[in-house]
Amino acid sequence: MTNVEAKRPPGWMSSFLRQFIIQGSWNYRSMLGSGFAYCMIPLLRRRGLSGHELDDAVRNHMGPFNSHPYLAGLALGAVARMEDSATDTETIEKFKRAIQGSLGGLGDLLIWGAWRPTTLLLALVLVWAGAPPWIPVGVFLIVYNLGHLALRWWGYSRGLRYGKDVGARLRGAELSRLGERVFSGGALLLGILVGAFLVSRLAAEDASALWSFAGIAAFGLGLKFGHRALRGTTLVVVLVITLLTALGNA
Amino acid sequence: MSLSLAFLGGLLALDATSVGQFMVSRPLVAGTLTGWWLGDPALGLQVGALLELFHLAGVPAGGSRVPETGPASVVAVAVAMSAGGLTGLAFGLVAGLAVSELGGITVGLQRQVVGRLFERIDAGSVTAPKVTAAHLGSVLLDFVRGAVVTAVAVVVGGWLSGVLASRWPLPYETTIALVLVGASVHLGALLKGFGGWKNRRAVFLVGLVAGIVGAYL
Repeated sequence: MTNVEAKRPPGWMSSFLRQFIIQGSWNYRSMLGSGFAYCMIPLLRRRGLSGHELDDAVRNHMGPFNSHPYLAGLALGAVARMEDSATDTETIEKFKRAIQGSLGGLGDLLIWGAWRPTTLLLALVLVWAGAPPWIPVGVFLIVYNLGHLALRWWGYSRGLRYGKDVGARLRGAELSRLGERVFSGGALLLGILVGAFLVSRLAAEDASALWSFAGIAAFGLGLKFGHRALRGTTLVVVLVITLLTALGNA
Repeated sequence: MSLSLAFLGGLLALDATSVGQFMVSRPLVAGTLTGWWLGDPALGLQVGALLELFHLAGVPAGGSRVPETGPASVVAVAVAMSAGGLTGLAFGLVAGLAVSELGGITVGLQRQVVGRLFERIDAGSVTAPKVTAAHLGSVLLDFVRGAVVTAVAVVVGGWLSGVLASRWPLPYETTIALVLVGASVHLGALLKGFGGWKNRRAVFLVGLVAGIVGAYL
């Protein structure tokens, strides 16, 4: 490990920091490809490349590439290691193509699907408990970003350490088990929030218990249809409120 | 005021995709921030929390079009403040939901423009300075897009809320109940995303009981 730590390629810190804007030029043609090339530039420069050599190396990294943004650093770190050990372009391309699916799927599941909603639910429970504005917002930003920054650092340093073998290491990681725990925590917080909603509706003075039953039915609808129900529900809420406003007490 | 809100909207738009993804652009945070900017953080938190319920279950997988929450939250709070009262709350939410969808469409258009820009670079001579300039230019474009979306929506929303103010027919409790019923669909979808009723039933029910007991206490 110490040997590998000592061999961190020059320019790695600039490349690590650039990953925070790797999605700056996200597009339907190459997705993260152009951002990946942008993040590689400091490493390529510090390898002593300049002029046409540098331009050719940058072009090689501009191909289509997609990943969850927080885990893109894992591929960046691995490619930095491969570039440092003069791995050929074809092998690097094969590696990027092979690993991008796992990085996208794992990140979407772990971060967008579990970590973000769970930390937001924690903040919403605090809102419902009557905490002053800065507490739920502060708790969410701190807790969420602790996980976010740790993952970015973990990914980049793993990539740097293991190079093209990082894929095998990723398979052995305990990320899926961690995801399961976060899912359970999220479900617990979701239960707390729904319970608080139910009680507040039943206890409300001028709102009948029918609203609670309507809420339970709506929850069941969401549980059955999942993401397919989201856009339609938003549209219905917008239409109902607009209609009520238009027909309201002039 | 619109200019300063446009600037805030532009910055929040960057957080969603282009820069950092620290989640400052989430409705809960962006709404509170806008409320604080406009002098009423409590209203900002209330509008932001309601809007958050409608975005909690969304997953921006791959290149799929997703609602854009940063500028939408700025608009929602600005409209809620300008309309005031219950109309403000209801209308702010509608403005937030509508702008988040429209904002998502502009994100798609921007991605097409950026794609064409890199296609041109790829077709000509690729140089490191060109790639750097195009990448940073795309970040700037995202900021400008977010600022324009926010400015236009704040002006239009402010005008509409002025016309429609005092027309909201429902009392506070019913307004909140109506919004929460809509949000419940999203919460149900979130439980499905967490693994569904079969896998998370026990822990969800423990939370439900805790929530009920906590709310009574």
